[in-house]
Amino acid sequence: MVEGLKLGEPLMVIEDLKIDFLTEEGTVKALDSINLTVRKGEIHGLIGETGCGKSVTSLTTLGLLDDNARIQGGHIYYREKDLLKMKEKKLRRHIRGNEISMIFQNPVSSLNPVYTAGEQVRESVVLYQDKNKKRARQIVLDELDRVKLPDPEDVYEKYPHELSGGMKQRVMIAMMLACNSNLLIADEPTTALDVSIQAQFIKVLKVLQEKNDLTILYITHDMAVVSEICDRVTVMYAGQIVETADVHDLFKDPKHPYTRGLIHSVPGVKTAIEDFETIPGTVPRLINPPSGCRFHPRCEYAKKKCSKVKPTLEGVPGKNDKHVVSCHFWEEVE
Amino acid sequence: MEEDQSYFGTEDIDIEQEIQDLKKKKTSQMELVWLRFKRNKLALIGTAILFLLIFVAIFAPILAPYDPLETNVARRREDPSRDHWLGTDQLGRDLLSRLMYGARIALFIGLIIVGVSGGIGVTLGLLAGTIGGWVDEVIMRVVDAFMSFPVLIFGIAFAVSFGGGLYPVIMAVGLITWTQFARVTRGDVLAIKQEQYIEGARAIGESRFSIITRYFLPNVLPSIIVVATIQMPSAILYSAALNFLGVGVEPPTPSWGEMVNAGSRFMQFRPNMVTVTGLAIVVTVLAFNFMGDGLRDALDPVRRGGR
Amino acid sequence: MNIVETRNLKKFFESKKGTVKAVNDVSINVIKGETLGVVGESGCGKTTLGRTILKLIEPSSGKIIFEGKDITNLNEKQIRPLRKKMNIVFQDPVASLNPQMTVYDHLSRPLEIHNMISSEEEKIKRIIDILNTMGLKAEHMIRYPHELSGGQKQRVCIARALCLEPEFLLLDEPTSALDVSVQSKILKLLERAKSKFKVSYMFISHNINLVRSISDRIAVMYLGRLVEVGDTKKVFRDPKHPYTKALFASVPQPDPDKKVKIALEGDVPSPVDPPIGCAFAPRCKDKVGKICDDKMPELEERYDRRVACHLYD
Repeated sequence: MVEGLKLGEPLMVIEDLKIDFLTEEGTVKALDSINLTVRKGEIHGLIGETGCGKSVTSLTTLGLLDDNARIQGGHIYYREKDLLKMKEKKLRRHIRGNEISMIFQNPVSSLNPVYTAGEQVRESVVLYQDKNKKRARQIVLDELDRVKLPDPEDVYEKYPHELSGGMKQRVMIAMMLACNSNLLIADEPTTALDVSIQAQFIKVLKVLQEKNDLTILYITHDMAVVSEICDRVTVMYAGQIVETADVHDLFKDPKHPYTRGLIHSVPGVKTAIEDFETIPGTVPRLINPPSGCRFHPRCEYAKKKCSKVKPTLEGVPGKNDKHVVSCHFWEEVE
Repeated sequence: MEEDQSYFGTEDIDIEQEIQDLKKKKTSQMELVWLRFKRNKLALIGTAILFLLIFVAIFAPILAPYDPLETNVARRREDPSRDHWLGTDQLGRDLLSRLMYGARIALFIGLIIVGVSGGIGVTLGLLAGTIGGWVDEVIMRVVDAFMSFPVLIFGIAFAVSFGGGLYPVIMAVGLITWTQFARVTRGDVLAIKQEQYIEGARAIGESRFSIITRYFLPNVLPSIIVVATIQMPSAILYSAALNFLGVGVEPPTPSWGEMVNAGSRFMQFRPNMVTVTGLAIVVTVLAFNFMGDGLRDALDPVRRGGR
Repeated sequence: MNIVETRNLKKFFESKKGTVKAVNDVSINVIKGETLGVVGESGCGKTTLGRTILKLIEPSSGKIIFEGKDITNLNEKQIRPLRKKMNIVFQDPVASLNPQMTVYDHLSRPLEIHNMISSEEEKIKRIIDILNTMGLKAEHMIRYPHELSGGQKQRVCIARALCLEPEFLLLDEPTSALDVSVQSKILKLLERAKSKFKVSYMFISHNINLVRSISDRIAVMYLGRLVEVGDTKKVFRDPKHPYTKALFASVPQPDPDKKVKIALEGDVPSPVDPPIGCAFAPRCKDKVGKICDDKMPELEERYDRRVACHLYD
């Protein structure tokens, strides 16, 4: 566990991160100076549509970007050390899997089919906790029990193809727990799961967060899941951060026009199709993104200033900088 | 790319213009392939060499300095000179002229063989893949059987039993190389079969034949072209090898295989015959391979789609 | 009046492990003009049911009745004229379009197959008309699928399905592969198309919130069988079957004040070897007794809907 870091203190701070991708068609401006703070013990939702840069953000944190990516500026401070300045070797040895671990969308392809579930979890235990084989086995069984897998002894001996999707996802969490990580990055972990399995999975994460002070960066496009599990939420649009707030504030009192549109286009809030709001236009291509606020061509509140000046994140009064929004005219949004 | 336009009503549009645009579109798609192809320098060089080869083959009678069959006993096995740029062979025939005429035979053989084997292979591959079941089973076992055949020995036996001329050799090699076409076609068909657009085609009422010709065939075509460019040089190599072993094109008709064969007897003191002809074969084979690689890369993005 | 109806429809697949009972004794109807939502978790057979109704897969037994006519035993050739009246939109718009065909090709094929047009000019007019209805423009006609965005591709798929003006359209997770903001547009589009073309929908989805907003009636499937069928509003207000209750309870709502309750433990049993009695019995919290394990409950009229549960015997 992190020494000297209390609940609610910043664990990871992303500052003015700017990333370009060089492609055949041109330079994709994937991240445009994003700022994000993940605090100890919280489940922080990172939400946005395809191509908004949410996955790029998480991959950068772990130094897993493709070769054509160019970091153009910014910092990622993890417990006050800049991850972007760290050497690959150090990153691999001290950060990846150890301090920060990640679960991906597809649990099937994330597990190695030729080893049993138990062996794969033991791998992490041996690496990060205890080299003694017998004790390691016991730790693995404890971890499997902790993620609420029924009959850990049985699961230990099973190969991935013998487990259901939900069970595989839990084995993944057990693996991550075995690394004793402080920060878990979950990239669309329930998108491929059924609702009943998803509900069980979310419960497991919640319990782990409360019992172990685990910090989770939860990346998803599903507004309902975010409202279910997250404490704080950051909304991204076309490589820019649009709004960050506590989950209640975000859903009850969204400030940014895009956040509002997003919330109102999700079925569930309203039941009739006629009541759905739609955001006009489509997500822009990031090779030639709109100037200023990247949302301005689709925004009904946009004025001249929006296309010229990029808005910065400003705090909503009375919210202690816990609710920040990146919009010139957020006060006018109804 | 604005999506949210009027939902109803026809816009004012020039129908003629739209039809024109549709026709233009087909060409622009080819232009795109060409643009990507152009980026691969090796492929361009390969293509240039092939064009040169075809040019030489077609205009051999005009370009060749001598009659390839004209013997001159006084000037046998000569080194390259001003009269004979590449030297002469054991009968005093001009090597350069024979090489040029040999290109005709080589390309002709390559084309016919690929045509025959491609036709057989693609048809059987399509049948095996689309029908499946026992048809697939039978066809693929036949492919396996053919693939385990030693090509050269089969070729010799086949050619000899049919009189040893050019056509038996072409048939022999063609019958052997079709397996690659069948395997690749079937593999692609099986992958495409899983695609939803095939089910979608059935859902709008396409007939079986239409599904094969409109949906399967265009999507396996890029692979087939690539296989063809790979099979072409191996067909040339096989026929040269068979020539070398004494079956195939009858002397005195100039063929590259026969030339290597003849030259190999004097290799110690007159290496030019073997090296020059060998080089011609190698360059042709490489040119085809480079072009094939380039074509595959150029056609691939169209096939894969993506956003 | 029913546009489509199935009677005791079964579809079994042979696999290495045994017979997979994907669709087991399903009797369902789609009333003309309505949207019937079909929900269930993966492996419940909802997709197979849809494919079988359209005869894209041959049924193992039972009957499929389309516009009052038994189409169960029609072969591929005999069914072809009927394809004009029923169609399908798939989940993945990328995989549903032939990468080698332009939008024009995709939309002109159905018209050509069913001899709907007499001249090239008329054809183009019709294609442009349907593209406009789908919120696309004439210029999109000359595009290849890879030149379109995900939402545009799905619009083309819907246009293809609707250009023959079918009576019945099967929507198999048509928005699952799309972003939320695109999803809401496609849903609105489908609503408008429904009133313009007077088409009946069968909307298959695992997204329960979505089905709730779009369908008139809802059918819940579990392990190849229907467990509850009824008016959407009534079923949501007061689900009767224990599985329906549990399923609805585990759906997260986009509202931080409403949290899900875990009502379902364990996994769905294998469709190769389903329980002898009620398929849901091993996970059911409201079991009435031995009868649940021993006897398969029939889908019977209870209250204002059909439910398959011994609780209401």
